[in-house]
Amino acid sequence: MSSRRWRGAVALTVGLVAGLVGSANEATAQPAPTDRIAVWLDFGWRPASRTFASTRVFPVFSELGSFQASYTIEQGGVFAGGVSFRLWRNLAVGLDASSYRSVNPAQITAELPHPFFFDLPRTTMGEAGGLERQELGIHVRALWVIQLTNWLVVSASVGPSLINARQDLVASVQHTEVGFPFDELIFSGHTVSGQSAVTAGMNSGVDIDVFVLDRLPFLNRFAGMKKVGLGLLIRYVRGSVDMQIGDDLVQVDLGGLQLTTGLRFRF
Amino acid sequence: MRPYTRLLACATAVAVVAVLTASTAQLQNRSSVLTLAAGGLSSLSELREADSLVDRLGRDRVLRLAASEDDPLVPGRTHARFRQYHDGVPIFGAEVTRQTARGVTVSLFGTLHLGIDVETTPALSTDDATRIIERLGNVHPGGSTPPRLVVLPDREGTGVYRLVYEARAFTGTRLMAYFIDASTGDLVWAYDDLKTQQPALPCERCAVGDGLGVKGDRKKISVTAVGGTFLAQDQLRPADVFTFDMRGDLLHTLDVLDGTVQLFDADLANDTDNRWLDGASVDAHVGMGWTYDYLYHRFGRQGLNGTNVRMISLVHPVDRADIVTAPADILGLFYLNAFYCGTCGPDGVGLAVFGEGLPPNVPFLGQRWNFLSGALDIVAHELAHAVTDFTSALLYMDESGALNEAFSDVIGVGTEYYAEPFYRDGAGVADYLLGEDVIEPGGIRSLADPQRFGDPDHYSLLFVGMEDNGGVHTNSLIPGHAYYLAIEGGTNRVSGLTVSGVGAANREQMEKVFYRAFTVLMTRDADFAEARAATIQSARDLYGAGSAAEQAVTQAWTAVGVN
Repeated sequence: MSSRRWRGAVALTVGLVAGLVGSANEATAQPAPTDRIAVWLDFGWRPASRTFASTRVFPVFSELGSFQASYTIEQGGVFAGGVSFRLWRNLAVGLDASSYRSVNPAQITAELPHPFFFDLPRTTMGEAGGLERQELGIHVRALWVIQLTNWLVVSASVGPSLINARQDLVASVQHTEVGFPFDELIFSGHTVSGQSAVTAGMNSGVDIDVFVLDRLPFLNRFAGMKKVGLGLLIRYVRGSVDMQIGDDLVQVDLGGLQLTTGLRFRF
Repeated sequence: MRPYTRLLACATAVAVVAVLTASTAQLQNRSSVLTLAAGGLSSLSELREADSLVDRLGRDRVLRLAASEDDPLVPGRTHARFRQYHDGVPIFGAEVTRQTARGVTVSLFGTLHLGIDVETTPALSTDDATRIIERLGNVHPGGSTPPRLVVLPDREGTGVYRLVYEARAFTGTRLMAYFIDASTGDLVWAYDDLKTQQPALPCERCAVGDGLGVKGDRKKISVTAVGGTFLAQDQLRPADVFTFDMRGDLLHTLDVLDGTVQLFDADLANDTDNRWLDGASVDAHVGMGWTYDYLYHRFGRQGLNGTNVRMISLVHPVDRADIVTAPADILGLFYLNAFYCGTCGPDGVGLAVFGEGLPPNVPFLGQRWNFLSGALDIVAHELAHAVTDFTSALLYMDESGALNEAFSDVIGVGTEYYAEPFYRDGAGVADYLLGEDVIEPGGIRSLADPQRFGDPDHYSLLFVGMEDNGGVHTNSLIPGHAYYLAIEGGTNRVSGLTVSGVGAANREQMEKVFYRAFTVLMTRDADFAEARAATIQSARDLYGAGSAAEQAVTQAWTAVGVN
């Protein structure tokens, strides 16, 4: 993550926490949950796609050729889970993890120098498929938890994240010369290099939990059902990392909007 | 011979028709010599009569098909080249080119000799002729081109024909064409067939290197990797391109030219790190490649012979350090000249030799002479001689020789304009000067202003002496200047006639007009009048009757006094 982004993320996080704490006086009127510990387990979706691009430059025919790979990280499944501890009134801290994986294509545009002439590049287009993106995030959260009713709990959270990302990057492209007069050539393949990196980021979100399972006829026979609920987490995770491929650095944006739902347990 | 009496009568009748028809159509009977220059829309009846004559001669095996090719510039057109024979023996210079469109004749050009009466059984054998030539020039006729029997028309047009042996031999500074009387062994005629720049004087091992030209400009060079070194052999183009470095060894150069020794890979220019610093080798090699590209892209031509024959050049034929002791003829040919030898080199496919120039501190007639391969127009000029050899084979003397030189200048200038965008570092500015990049200041010829170098810019100033094969270099500026005027327009200095050229933006039109006329329409013994008719025909074929191109080329020839 670049220092500027990092400063922005910190500023946003501090702002959100300050906002929550600053509203504590008013929040004293807000009902606080009685439970100290909450555990949750979710699955869901990352709905928004995001893009990034990598450019590589290489010597060929006494000039520099290049290719740009434009990656689109499509929507994909997210698994998440965590635990939180209520420290004081509505304030809690949480630690949780999320996992995201998707397989995506990249559009490749290459410029290859002409074998006979300077400054007369030939352009090709190609596609690299099956590029895997994995993100494993560890999120520390400060939560402000409000018990709106005895069955409805809403919390807002913000905090730093540590994201371990793995991304398949196009490392090189291969072309086949059609032959004289070398005005065109055929994109014939590519190689992929899987790169990993860890970076710090931030997260913020809203969690809406309902505890109504004990009211359902077929579940109310279980004593613990008052402590089990269903929740919807809307969370935004943001991070950025520079991945190195050869001598080139590729800036890869991580995270995004997560919509997950699952079970909530409170103790 | 009686059938030919009838043919002669027929030809005479056709000629009468020709005189009465439009100016672009000429069918003239000079004694027993019939000149065909018929085509276009204005002389249809004449064209049909001439066509019938050619058909009849073809049926009688007097005319035999020598080559036929589809026109790469005008779809649907085919060009056939016929050679005339007398009792099975070819008649020197007697050819007809016939252009057809879906089987219908569009134009005919050429010269036929009718009513010949000469015995075709030689008294001398081929070996006898070889020995005579060896005695005459102290040379050995090339093994790949042994003497052959031809019927030689008298050059003065007296109607006398002789059965002769024709042979070529490189004499050290000349490529002599000898004509030996097949009965008496007398030398009937000889001329220097060496095409000089100026008178008197996908493969596994392919690689792309980085080279510096004579002027220090960067170029890419297509080479072959062998072991730990790189050789100046371009295998990326359909025609293999070879540049041999004679390393200043004149004796070796002479041995290669006369076929005494073969060229080997060890003779190829080479470099160990593929960063080529010998400008003469780089520019010769790259220039040949660019000339190939120009011919291909502009005219759809596959190399010098149309079927990708190898392209070979020699650089550093002499050592500049030897200039003090060099004889005048060596100085004139291997230092201050470039030439194309059509029968030299491996398999006799021809090669170009680029002169060494002079040391920087030794000017000649006020000009500095650098390595001649450093001028792309010179490289292309020499290679264009090969194109001529493989097509119209314009006889290298008098007006046909001047046309031969003019065509090379046209290709030289055209290649320079084509390649201008490919140059770096300020080199390669295109113009109508020849050799200006290495012969400074000014070059050696100017198509724009022939008088600048004392060359004729009008037919009235035609050089008529015997020197330089009848002034092939100086007289080439008459058609060369016509080419310039047809593109750029302007007023001829002598006639005062103004030409509306097609404009520099349409340069390609005139390049095609001239290329097509010179390669498929014109015949070996063509004169300026035939060149005029052929280029006009070519312009019509390519761009239509009455087109700006036709008007430009017609005005240009008229302006330089060729009608």
